[in-house]
Amino acid sequence: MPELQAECHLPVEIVGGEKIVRAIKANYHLKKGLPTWRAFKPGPEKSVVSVMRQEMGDDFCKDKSREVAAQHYVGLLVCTAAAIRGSGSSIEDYRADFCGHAHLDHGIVSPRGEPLPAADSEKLRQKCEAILVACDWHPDPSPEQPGWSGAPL
Amino acid sequence: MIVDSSISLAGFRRFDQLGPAAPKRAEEYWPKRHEHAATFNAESSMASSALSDFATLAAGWDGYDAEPISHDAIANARAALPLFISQLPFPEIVPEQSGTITLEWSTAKGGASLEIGSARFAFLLRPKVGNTIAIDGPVTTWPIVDLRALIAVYLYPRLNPVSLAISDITF
Repeated sequence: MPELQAECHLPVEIVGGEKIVRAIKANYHLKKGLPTWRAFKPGPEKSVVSVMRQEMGDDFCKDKSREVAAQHYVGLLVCTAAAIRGSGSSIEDYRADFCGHAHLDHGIVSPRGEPLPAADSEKLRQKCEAILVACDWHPDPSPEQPGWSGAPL
Repeated sequence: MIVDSSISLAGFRRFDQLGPAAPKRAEEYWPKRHEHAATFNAESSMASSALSDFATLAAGWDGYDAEPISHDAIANARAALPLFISQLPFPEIVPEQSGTITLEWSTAKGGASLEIGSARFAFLLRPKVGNTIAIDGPVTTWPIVDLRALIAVYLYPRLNPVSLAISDITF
């Protein structure tokens, strides 16, 4: 369990109905204007991707996404914790980085510089695709501006 | 969907092992697309340009912690691409966060991906009907002609006049 931030008001436990938010970047996550399974693919030597807890508010999720994804930020994917767990992956609070941060863990570590074994690659892709289809895609109507101005997440 | 992880390169029967009724060469399955030189040259140029662009990607190019695309992966992709695009539609070429390169084909029949690293490859054929075929191994022995044949048979049967039943191949 990561070190707790004393000022974080969220419960550590993430219940099934809680909404989880993933920042989407134009340069890697999109294909023909829509998010792909790669939105949930971990980086090298990791099994996790960073997500946010919508309990922090729509504006927080948007502003944090702009901070992380910078000029590549284009919108937000939103799904429930239950959908993530239903795919076989896990979701846990990770407030050591910031309050509202969580890790979506697939349990499959991608190697650096080489592909995963093909069978593992297929398992990872299946998990990512299952989460993707459970998500709602919210393209940001004003990605350059602070605060969320689209429909509620 | 079931992944047949029992498939290995060692047990992969090549086209010339399919029996007397099978063509001797996989090239006999497709029209000679390279006869359309203009199209082929344009596609080759696009592929070369895309791979050259990948060489310029710095660490963290995805906005997180992506690896630069390795020179070896680019070299391996450069070697493989002409063999695919000579007889298959041009694939999507995708840089991956781990520093590898993926070639992807997608049709109404399903999808195929070939992820290429510095020393290894991983191939997935995901037909809409049937099990996923998963093959991996070192690039020094990758069976490109056989992978190309699998893609053609499953995803581009109209380019494949013989329409060999792939179930004839045993693993």
